[in-house]
Amino acid sequence: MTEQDRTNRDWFNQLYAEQYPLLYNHACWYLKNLGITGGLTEELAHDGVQLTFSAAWQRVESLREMAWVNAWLFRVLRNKLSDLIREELRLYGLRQRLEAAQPGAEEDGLAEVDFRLLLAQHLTPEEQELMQRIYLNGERPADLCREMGLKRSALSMRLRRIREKLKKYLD
Amino acid sequence: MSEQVLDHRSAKEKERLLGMNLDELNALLLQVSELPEFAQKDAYIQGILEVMQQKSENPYGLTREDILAEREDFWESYCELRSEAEADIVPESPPISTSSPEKPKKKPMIRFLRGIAAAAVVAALFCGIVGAFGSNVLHVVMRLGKGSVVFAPAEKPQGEPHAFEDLYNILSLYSELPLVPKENPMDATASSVCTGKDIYGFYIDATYLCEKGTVGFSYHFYETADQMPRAECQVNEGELQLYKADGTSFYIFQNLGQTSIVWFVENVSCFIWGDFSVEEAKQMVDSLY
Repeated sequence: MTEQDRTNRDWFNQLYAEQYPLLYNHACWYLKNLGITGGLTEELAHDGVQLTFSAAWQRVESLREMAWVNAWLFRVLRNKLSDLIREELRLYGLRQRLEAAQPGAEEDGLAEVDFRLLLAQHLTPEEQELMQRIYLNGERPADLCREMGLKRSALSMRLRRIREKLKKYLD
Repeated sequence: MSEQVLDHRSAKEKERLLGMNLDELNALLLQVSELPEFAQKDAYIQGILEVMQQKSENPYGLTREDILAEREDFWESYCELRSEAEADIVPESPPISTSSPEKPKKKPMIRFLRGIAAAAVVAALFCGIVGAFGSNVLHVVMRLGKGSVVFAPAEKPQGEPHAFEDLYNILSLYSELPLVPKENPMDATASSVCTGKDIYGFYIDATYLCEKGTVGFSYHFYETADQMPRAECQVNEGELQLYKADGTSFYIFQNLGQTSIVWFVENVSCFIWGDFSVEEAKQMVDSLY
């Protein structure tokens, strides 16, 4: 690691420690205001913030010269959350409709798809359980990580892979 | 922009932000981020974030250990997401500094104060934004006129003190439109003029001192009228007046004891704000022509 790399990393570590709580809190607030509840709020907020910092790390040199770094991070976070929500919308919308149990209220033709059936048909038993606990039971990802001995990022990666897997069946 | 002006302006605006709770600040942040681009938008976003940081509220119970664990996690997993991050990074607007690139970097406090001061102009646009959520709101949509002015950037003055008359001269470099009152409002004395670029064009902000306090001018020049945003203002009912002069609509409203005038003409969005009355605002408008 060069001296420059070390300097960048130190600067970035400080930025991360200072800005993580603000970004995470805003992400949670934003998602809750959209009506997303339970463990999914934390999961998406966590993923959005980490992806934001990932983008920031790719541009650490130019970011260090920037006047409004926090504002930039915030703007990127909003974009990341929008992307995540877009991906999530169908799955989450489906779950909401199942909860509301109002057949015929569908707008995109997905209401007839049974969420549990979808999981059962296309996921392994472990994946099904994970999805049910996060999406249906609203359990907190942090609690699941502790129970399963997983790192937070590992859980997020796992969930992302599952969502990818399901995406094609929702299109 | 002088520190004297900044202190005066920032104290009020900062006090307003500090008086908000975290929910209100989050709502404001969301509103600001969804507004069309304007001069000092990033400065204002940063100003709000810094006030949120000062409040040190922790609604989701994050501990220092949590943050360090997340950071460790980041280095192990997320920092390697290069391709994904690069593919979808594009923010709503480029990560521009609101200053010209060649401009020396300001000290953080000055940057914050300047952001807050300039943002007061914008804050006037959504005065009562938090309190007005969902009730008793007069919703005004200002549509922009057609036509355009030739965009011909000239040598732009930066940061030097200017007499009020200079603002007229500076703006006349960019447009022949009547943008500045011909008479010096309230005998405003010397201040400074600040210019900068953003992705849509450039802006000119000027703040002057007068006997009653401050009067500020902010003009945003878009390259073409097509790029003009449609601004939506939420103001408390009864506090907005439509005033017409020379066929142009001027919106006059008050917020936190200050008065603002907002109007659009061809490819320029204009704000005048400060410590003057509604009557004086109308006189200023009349004196444009």
